[in-house]
Amino acid sequence: MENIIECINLTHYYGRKLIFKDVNYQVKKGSTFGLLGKNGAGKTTTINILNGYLTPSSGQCLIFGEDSQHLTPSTKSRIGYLMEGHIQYGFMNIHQIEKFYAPFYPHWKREAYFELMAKLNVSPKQKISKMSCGQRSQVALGLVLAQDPDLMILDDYSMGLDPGYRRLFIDYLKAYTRSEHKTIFVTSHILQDLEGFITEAVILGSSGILYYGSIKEFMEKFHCFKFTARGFPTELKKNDIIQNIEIIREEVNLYSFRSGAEVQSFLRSMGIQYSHFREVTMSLEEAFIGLTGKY
Amino acid sequence: MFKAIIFKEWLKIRWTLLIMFLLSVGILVNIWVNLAYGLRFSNPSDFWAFIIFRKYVFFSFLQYFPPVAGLGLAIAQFFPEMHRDRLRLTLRLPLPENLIIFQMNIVAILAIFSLFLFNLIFLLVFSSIYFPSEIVKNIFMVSLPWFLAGIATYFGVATILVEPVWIRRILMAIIFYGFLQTFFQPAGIYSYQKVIIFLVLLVFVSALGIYYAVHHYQKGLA
Amino acid sequence: MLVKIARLSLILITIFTLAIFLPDFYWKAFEQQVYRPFAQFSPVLKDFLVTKASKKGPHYYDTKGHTYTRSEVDSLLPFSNARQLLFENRFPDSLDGKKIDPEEVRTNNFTLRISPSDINQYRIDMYPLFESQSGRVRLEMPTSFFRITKRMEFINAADNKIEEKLSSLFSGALQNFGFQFPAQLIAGNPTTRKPFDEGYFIVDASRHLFHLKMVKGEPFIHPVPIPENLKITHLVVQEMNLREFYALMITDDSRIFLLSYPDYQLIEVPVIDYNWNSTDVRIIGDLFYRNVMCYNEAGLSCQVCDRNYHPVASYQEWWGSRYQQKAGIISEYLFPFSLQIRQETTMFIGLFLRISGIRSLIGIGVAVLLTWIFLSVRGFSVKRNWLEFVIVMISGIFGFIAIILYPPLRDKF
Repeated sequence: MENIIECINLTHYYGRKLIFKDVNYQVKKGSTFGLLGKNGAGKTTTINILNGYLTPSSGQCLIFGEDSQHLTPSTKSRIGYLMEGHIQYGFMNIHQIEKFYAPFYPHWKREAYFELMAKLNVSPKQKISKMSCGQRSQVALGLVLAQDPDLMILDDYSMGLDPGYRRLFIDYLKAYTRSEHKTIFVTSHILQDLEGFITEAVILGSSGILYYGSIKEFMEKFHCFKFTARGFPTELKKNDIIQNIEIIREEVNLYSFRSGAEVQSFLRSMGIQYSHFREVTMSLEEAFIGLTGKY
Repeated sequence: MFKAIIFKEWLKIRWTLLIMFLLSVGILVNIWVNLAYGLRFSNPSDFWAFIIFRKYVFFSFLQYFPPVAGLGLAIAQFFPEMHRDRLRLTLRLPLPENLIIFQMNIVAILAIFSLFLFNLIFLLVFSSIYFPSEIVKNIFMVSLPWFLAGIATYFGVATILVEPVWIRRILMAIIFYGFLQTFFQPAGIYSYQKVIIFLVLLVFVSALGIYYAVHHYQKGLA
Repeated sequence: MLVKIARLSLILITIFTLAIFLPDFYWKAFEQQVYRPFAQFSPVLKDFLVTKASKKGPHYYDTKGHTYTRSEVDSLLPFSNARQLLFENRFPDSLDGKKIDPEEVRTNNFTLRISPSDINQYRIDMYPLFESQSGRVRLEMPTSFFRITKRMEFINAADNKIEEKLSSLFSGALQNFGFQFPAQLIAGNPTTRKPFDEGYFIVDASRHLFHLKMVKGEPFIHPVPIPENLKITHLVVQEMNLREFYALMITDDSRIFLLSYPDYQLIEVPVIDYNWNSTDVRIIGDLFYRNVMCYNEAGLSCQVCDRNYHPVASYQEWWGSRYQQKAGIISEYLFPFSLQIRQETTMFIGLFLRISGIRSLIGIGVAVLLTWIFLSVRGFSVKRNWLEFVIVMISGIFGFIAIILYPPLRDKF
């Protein structure tokens, strides 16, 4: 299976501040890959490196086998970008912008673009800068779909969008991924939308990669256990068994990749008295928060 | 694909180009009317003597126009690109980045060149109604450095707009302003005959700086 | 690769601009004024009387060092100060046994000044030909200007059209005297503010000199024989009631001649240290003498002669060039070279490079050191960035500033 994107020993510093160190992952062809993490974890940094707008302190990213800092034009034509904020040329209207982009991409699909534009309630001469946030996002989406790229990189496509537009995006992207050749790389804050959409993910934390692998496995392997502890179990902290822990008075939420039995035996070994030990099913968002922490 | 870039650049600069065109026509017509008036209401021989021996430049106001035109066109072209990092969109097009910038520059230069050529021809044509070729030739030599400065201004301002680091932008602007003084020595009094080729070379050199600024913009480095 | 060239072009423009502005600004801030002396030969002292300004006011002295007051100077230079002396009733009746009349003194006073920039300039070769004998006291501006290209053409200033009659008349007359078109040099005094008009002196294509005037509407042309080996660089026509010479002529080898009345006899003017390209020459004539002062960058050379242009005495005074001032010495340390686009000796814009002396090596050394510090602190490999040092070694502080402004491209870490 071909690796569309490969990040190799990626390390970056902003001045003296370390963002991430020796990060490695691959995005396979046909997957819908999510880059998740809290603000400041390095998502934007990674996207900028992938886009060639930032040179990493060390390491490299390869896209279609080429260094992301020096992509050849033919490779660039296979990659579709959606920039944060759905940035496009504000001084053009929807016809001009399609007329501008079309000649650059050999497989340009006019129908895909205009189908989406027909749903937009804008006058034909209206400049993009004069459209609402949601309308602009639709234009940006339409242009990316018309490009019919082999790889789509979406940087926070949901920013500033109403739920309706967010849904529209996901619907169209899902339809797009039904072809086996298309790969999507997406970052987003809003995990509810991504649930059921992304197949693989890298979850970044302040210390590096917290999880890398398929979402299905993540949801299967990452557990949330709730119990009531006697006394205030202040000695319960993060370690290799406890991924994250929340203690509110005597109520404890414990997040772990280990099984319930392992966790309970650990608690007993710590001499903690507990009751009402149960596992709680999580949504992707809850799992994400559980892994990365609330603050 | 070059056609598409011409289309995009044209959309950005067309109104500014029109305004500059009208402005230049206004300035030149004003100069023309004042010239004809001066010749009518004074002794024409005295007027010629004033031009020939006292180095009077009746069209000196024109010198302000080319740098203004270069500045305006560079802003019209690059300000929409710099606003919210849209230049990233442009540089992502499936072409070598330097070629994209080069094509953008070519479109603007063709526009500026046509504008200045029109201005120059207009000036020389109405001057030759009133003056013989010796004086008209001098009008050409006096105004040529100004037009060259206008082209250099376009390149300088475009470079400064693309450069991401603010301190460098300001310092570049200061040095560039000093650089432009080379083209604007007191009109008519000092003659540029001997250095015109050098000025043209300077303009070509000034055209290259933008690739360094684009490199900085792209790499996110200071 | 293109980015490297782009960076070098920005550095080049920066060095070019700094090399012009930094030294210029420096001089404006620190240059001390040098007062130039003015020397005139006194018929009373039989010695030069030198005037030199200073912060405390002008002082006057002779070659032996005696100083004089303003009032004493008036009497010592009676020809220049006739009006003041008359006003104070101190004007002498006679000098050297000769009776002198104030009116005669006035007529015999003249000043001629020629700077290199008068010669090094672009000329629009169109001139007004005055009617030299109109019968009116005042000269009138003609209606047309002439040029001498394939023929002599008069162009009417009011309608920009060729005055064919006049043009044919003068062209024909010139042809009759063997004039070879086009003219190489046309010299005259194109103003109505002069006592009378002597027209123009014109050098033709074969280097022959002609005198041309309009007399009662008709062409007056007189060929002026000049020795073959003299190459005329410049001619100055200044009509004076004195009527001693038609014009002053400067040759390529920096000799000065007068074309004297009535037959254009060439009289050579004795002169010291004159180079038409760099010397400012002032000729002060009075009843007894001709004072020829040559101002060069570092000194004054004055040659005085009698009315027959035989040398009488000479005087020289030097002042340091500005590079010998304290500020100048420091500038040599600071700037390895300086660029000017204008110079006093010419009206053409050019590129004037002045390379500093040995002292600049110290300034360059400091700049190289600063560059090394800058590159190291910023984490650049000194070995790979050897070009930066070459740039700074050539351009000193200018290059250093340029390199800080446009740092080298980062190699991959």
